[in-house]
Amino acid sequence: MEAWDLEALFDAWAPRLLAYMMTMTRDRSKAEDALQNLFVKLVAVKAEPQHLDVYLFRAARNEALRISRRRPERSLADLEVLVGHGGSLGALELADAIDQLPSDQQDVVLLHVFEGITFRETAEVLGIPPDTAASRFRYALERLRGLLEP
Amino acid sequence: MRLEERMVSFRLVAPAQSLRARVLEAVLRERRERRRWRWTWAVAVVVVAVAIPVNLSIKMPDIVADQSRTSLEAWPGELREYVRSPIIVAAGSPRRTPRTLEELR
Repeated sequence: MEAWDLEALFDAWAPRLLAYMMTMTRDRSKAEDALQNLFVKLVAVKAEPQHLDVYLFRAARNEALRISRRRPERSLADLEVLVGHGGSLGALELADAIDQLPSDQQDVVLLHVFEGITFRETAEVLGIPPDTAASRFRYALERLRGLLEP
Repeated sequence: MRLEERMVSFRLVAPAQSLRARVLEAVLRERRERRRWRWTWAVAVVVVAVAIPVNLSIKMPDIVADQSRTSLEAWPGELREYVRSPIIVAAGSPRRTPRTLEELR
């Protein structure tokens, strides 16, 4: 009795989850393994969780950390997972700046800015209080301003 | 345009289409495995809950006693007599009746 349509879930979520897992593992093949493990584990989940995005990002984070701890030697820019245009700001420039943030600030920026989830949801994914998530974001933004808006 | 506004136009995306078949195959395998386990558990529960109590409630025949009796009855009379005799009689010699204890003394 599987309540989830995992094929539809894969089509809708895999590109985002894979990219997020790549930022965690800094390795595409490890992120692919983590994504496969995540979907295999979802088979055991009977019903769709209330906050799907929070649930999936949290599960993705746990699975990525289980497979591989972050490897800072590989830069975010090398992974080519950040896409978009922000005026004069390029993806590589932004990725390089984010790479210079402490990892706890990176976590908040990646989820809150690039995945578009609220501070409360970001905090839930990371297992920290919402105020902590907000203050980490403030510090990250200050640092990024210093790096990107000299 | 402020930095925050410029940043939100970026997204984290990685092409995952090449993984689709592999991941969904693993999902199918897991579903089959889980179904198999469910059946195994169901059979185990039936055995424990039904088969064992039923088996225990059936009165078993006294197999050992029956076997010993039938094997004794199956012995030919001649052999029974031979076994009872304290004297081993050679083949072809005239048969002797077993002696009583008084005679032996």
